[in-house]
Amino acid sequence: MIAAVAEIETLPDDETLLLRVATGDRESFRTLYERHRARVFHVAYRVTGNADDAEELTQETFLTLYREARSVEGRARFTTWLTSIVLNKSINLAKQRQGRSTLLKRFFGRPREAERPRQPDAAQGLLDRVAERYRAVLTLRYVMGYSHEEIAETLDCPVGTAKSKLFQAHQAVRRAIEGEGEDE
Amino acid sequence: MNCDACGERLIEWLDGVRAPEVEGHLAGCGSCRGLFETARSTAETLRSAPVPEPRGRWEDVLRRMDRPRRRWWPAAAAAAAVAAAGLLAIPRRDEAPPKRLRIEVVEAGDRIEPGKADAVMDSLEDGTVADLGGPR
Ligand SMILES: [Zn+2]
Repeated sequence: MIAAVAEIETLPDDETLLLRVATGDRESFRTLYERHRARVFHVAYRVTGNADDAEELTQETFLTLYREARSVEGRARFTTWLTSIVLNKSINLAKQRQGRSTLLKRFFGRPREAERPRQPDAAQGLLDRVAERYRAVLTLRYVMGYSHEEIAETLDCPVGTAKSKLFQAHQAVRRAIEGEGEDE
Repeated sequence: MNCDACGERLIEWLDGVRAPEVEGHLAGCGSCRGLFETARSTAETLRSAPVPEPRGRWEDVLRRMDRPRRRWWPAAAAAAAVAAAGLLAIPRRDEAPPKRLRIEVVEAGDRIEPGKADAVMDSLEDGTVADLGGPR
């Protein structure tokens, strides 16, 4: 038991692992992957609303991490940096999917099988009703439990701006529920 | 206190701060009360959202690390070029969709690597459709 505890305590922190990843150390990369993949997946899942997309985005996020490990020294905390990567990828994909769905509906009259409405849980039902950027900030705050400071760091903006984005997201949800249509 | 000033206090209100002037305004303003109550319920719903487990494995990441990137590109570009011919005949909103486009996209689909159809759609939307002034 004591040996196990000692081992846990000596596990390197994220920043140390990242430095090792920058030298091409794949075992450190694997440790970061196992430690953070659920968090990354969850952000992607809530912003895209699609588990398959979220799996793909999770892989891509870690591949980006591996490629860019050398360039992150001295930047934001590891977790907010990683979250900002998956968040940007997720927002971009969600926008693409939206455009694609419009395109396919126009030419084929209905969405592809895979893009027909799923059975979202209550949380996804809410998130799906607002634009991607609102989904993103609501996900960070309530699903991931980020502080206002962490949201600001992830979105690379001042804390006041992060709060203001959160306020706008709540307004968007309210408008959607009132049936005034989604703000875009 | 007016509605704008009250709205500015929403985030701290959600964080548990209770100010008499905000409570006073909420008591008398249905619009702000609606916003605040919806926001509180949104926060609760999202906080209790189930957490799905990712299925992805380390081996999948490892495999992709050693694979050249964008190997699908030639197939996607070819498909986009074929589909673009069909897209030139963009129908008016009230007309039936053109059969030619449907056929050409399906034909292009035959040559696309399995699992790469999304990449083809990406190439369509990023370039072709925008250039043709089609729907985004
Ligand atoms: Zn009011």
